[in-house]
Amino acid sequence: MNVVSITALIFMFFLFLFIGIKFSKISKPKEFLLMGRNIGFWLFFGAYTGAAIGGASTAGFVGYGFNDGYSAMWLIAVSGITLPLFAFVFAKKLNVFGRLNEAYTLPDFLAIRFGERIRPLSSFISYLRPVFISGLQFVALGIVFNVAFGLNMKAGIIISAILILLYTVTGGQYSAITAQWIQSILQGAGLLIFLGATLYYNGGIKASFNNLHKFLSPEKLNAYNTDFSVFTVWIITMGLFYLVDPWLYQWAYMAKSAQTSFDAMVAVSLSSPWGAISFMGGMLIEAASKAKLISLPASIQGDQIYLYFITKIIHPAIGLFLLVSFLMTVLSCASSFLLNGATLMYNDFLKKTKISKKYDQIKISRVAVLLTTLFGIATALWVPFLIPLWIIGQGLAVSGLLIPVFAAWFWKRGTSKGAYYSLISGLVSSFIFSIYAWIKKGSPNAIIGGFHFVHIGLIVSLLFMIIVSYMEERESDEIVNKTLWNKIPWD
Amino acid sequence: MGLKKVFKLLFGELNLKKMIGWIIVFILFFLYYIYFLGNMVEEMIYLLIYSLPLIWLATIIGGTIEIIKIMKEINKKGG
Repeated sequence: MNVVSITALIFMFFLFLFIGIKFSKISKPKEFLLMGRNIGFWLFFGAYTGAAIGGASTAGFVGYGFNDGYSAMWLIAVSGITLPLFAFVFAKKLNVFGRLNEAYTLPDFLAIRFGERIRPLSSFISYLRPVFISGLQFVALGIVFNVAFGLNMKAGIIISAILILLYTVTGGQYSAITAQWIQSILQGAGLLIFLGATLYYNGGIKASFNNLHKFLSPEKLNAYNTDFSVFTVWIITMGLFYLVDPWLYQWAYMAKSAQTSFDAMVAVSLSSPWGAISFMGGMLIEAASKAKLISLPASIQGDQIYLYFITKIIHPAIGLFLLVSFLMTVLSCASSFLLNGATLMYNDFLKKTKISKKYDQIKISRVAVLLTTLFGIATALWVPFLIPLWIIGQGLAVSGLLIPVFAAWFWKRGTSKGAYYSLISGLVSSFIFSIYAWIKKGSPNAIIGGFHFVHIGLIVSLLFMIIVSYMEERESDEIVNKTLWNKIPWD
Repeated sequence: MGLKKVFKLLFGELNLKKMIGWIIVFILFFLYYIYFLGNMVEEMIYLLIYSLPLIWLATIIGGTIEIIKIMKEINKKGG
């Protein structure tokens, strides 16, 4: 199995590298980082689906389905509500805004409205997420290399990062998107086979339904069986977050037209059942295990179930395909966030330095990819508690960015100073509360007195935005109208 | 009148075909969410089995056509 799977992986790697070299002729950062603002509907749809589902949302969500049942699906269901909202309200306008203002990143949007002072901090928060997510994907690849091929974990992390770096640094977003599309096809096939396999081990569709009802508690089959405070945290961090997600802003900028941006985002949100497969698979594995149709080690952790199922239970040939497909799932997520981080690094940091003006901007863009990969490797190798840090990173982003970004879109009275203090206060207050929760309850995500750190950050950020803005003179219509929602054309 | 305004705000100039199209999309989306969020595990599994293979096939066909187009454009540019 090892020889076949290694051969398959080497083949896939050379395919991606070939794609990277094919696209290496590009000559402008806009082409390298935003694919020339020219992604069509199907590439957008395929690549986004591939990138949005990563290692955590496959192996991790199988564990959630196994441990928590149907209600855990709110984790993705909430994004199924906010993504269409994003599509309807922002997708077209952002695409137009990007073209009119040559915007690359979300901090561009904020800086155009509130001035350059807000850029460094907003870029820094936006940058944390792609670095942590890339790091997490490198760790996931390291685990797979370790479990499947017995490779040392650290070596697995470094090898996987180098493989991704090679095909992204050559062709940039062109090769990343094309590779993500191919990866999403394999990933989709893998997820469908995984679903089929979990139904098969339960004895077919009808028998699966019987087993689910017979062996799982009724609470596990009820989507509404979840704590309200936890539910609001999911709404904010996995739902509302998408309205200020720097990664999503970049997708909107990259679409070849405002209409494509809108169509593809609606399609992407309607295809969120891809994510549901992992949850259902986890529940079906639990049902089969309790029905004694398959056997799992008693001490198995939730996030190990997927890999155990595909390497130990399923037929080796199918298991091999699912393993390759899982690797593709992780690669697609890693390369997409790597390019998102590189775009922020190039546009908001490197491009602004004096030294970068002396060099070809494509080279500087490539340096940004390299640096982001190195940061990803560093977090994967040396930063402990990567998952809690990712949670904090995402929570901080929503606490700091949501109010200033919404003020830029909708509030004429908002001022640059108000936005700046709103950003800082949201960040600081939510960070302090998250550390307090971490120390007191063992997790930054813990709810204390009905409050999560994001609740605190948003309330403080909103107060600062309003109070500081009203203490100042109103800003000129010329500046306000640049980002005001109803002043940006639809197409 | 209010609804007309909302539609104009969201989708630009109102036109009947567009409006009917969007109403259908919203109804389908609403139905989809009833399936998705209720206490309906069986329906969810059927939804996955019937919809995803079609989405998967469409992604392959559509994406292949677009990649070929882009490759041709890049080759032209690069000379």
